[in-house]
Amino acid sequence: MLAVQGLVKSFGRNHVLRGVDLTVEKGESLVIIGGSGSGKSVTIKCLMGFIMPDAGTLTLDGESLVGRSGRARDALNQRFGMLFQHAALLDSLPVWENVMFAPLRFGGISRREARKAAAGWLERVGLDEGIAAELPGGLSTGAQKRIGLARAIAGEPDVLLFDEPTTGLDALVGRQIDGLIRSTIDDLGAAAITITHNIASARRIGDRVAMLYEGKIAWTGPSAGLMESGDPLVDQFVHGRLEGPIPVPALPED
Amino acid sequence: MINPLAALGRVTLSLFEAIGRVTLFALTGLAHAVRPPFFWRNYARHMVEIGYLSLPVVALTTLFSGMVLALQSYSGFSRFSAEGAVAMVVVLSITRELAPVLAGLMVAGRIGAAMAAEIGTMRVTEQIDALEALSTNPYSYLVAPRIVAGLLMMPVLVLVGDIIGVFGGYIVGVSKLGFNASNYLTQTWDVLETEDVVSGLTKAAVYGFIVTLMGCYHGYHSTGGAQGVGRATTQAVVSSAILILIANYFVTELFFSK
Repeated sequence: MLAVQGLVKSFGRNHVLRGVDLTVEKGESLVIIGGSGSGKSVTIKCLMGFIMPDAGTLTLDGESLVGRSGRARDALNQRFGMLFQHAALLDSLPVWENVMFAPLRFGGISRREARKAAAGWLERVGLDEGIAAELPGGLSTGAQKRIGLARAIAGEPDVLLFDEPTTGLDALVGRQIDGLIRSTIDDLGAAAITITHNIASARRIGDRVAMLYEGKIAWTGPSAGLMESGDPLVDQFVHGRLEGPIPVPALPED
Repeated sequence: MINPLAALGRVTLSLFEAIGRVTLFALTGLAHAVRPPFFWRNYARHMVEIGYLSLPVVALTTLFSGMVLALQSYSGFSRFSAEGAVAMVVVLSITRELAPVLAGLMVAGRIGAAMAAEIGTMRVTEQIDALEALSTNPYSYLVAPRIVAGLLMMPVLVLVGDIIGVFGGYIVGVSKLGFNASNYLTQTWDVLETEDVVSGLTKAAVYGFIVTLMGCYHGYHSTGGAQGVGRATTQAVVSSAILILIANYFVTELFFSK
């Protein structure tokens, strides 16, 4: 189980996280929603060890994720798979090496075996083996996202993190990616955290949804009840209303 | 009265802060060069990039520098009937100074800029975060191979540049200035000492370190999207060029001060 308790992080005078509490069970999919700058990405970066929190505990099956560096952190990160907002594929490596990066390093397999295995992972995310030798820079955003997903799951991790998985995709491809993410979570039985602005996507991917507001979890509940939560903050956010407890900066009048 | 002093203090502090940051970065990079994991493909890629693909640029630069040097020294020395010293001036200038400094500056423009741009782009597109997420230390994967390639391949590049530069002087000396080919080569060989070549190759290793370190450092710390990557690239080239010229004095003093 992945547990976050009292997570606090500030950047100078900007207090981004003010005590975030979360738990995600194995096989469960939690989606975090919230406005821009609400601290969704910072939460995920703290989980991955990219950012050191100021206070709070982060544990995976009881093992602390905070304060680990070097090989100890590397060993922990092998239990995580992450799909980045813009896929973040390594430009200098062909698609198959991107997908099999972690298994090549830690799985004790040869390059020939990895090349073969990559075809299977690519097929699993709906891509043809024919693109395996291409460099990722020339591929469409949708294809890059799928490759990023294949890379995230190729190490068969215990925890999957998805950072704005449908950003930059049209509605149809976005829906496909959501379906892939959901089926991947179910197949691997991994604990998953997705952060997104996209409410339709949150409902498709998540078992539970948590809303982050002013650095804290303001609401959490089943994704099926997201649209009728009864919480004024959540209602305003998911229905996109300008009036409500969340202040919306006024635009200058013409 | 206080404001200028405060400004001076701020500048001094920020200078020391920058020196500290670069030193820490360099030490971390070097530490990852001597402990596993080693990404051999990356080492090979950067060695080819620096040592082989930079060869045409360095060869052309040193060839024409050697040719110009022969013409200029002949023109100057003929004023006091010392034309015979042309071969000596060409070989000493090329091996001690021109080949290492010119190769360093050319590689700074070609490799330092490319490294800063590549690593900077990786930073702003989260590829460096992705490496960490894949349990891979960016210093091992990105920095160490580049620094080691710079340290090892720049001397090789300069050694080839030495030969080509001296050959440039030989071509002009023999074909244009009327020197006897055999005498020119004998004079060149007789005057050359091991220390001349070794000092040039030492400079080359230092410049290779400087260029790759600056390229990696500025790329690694770039922020602010495409504009930030552009700024990092410029800073990498400018700081490399300045540090090469400063280091040139100190390495020269190390070898030749009496």
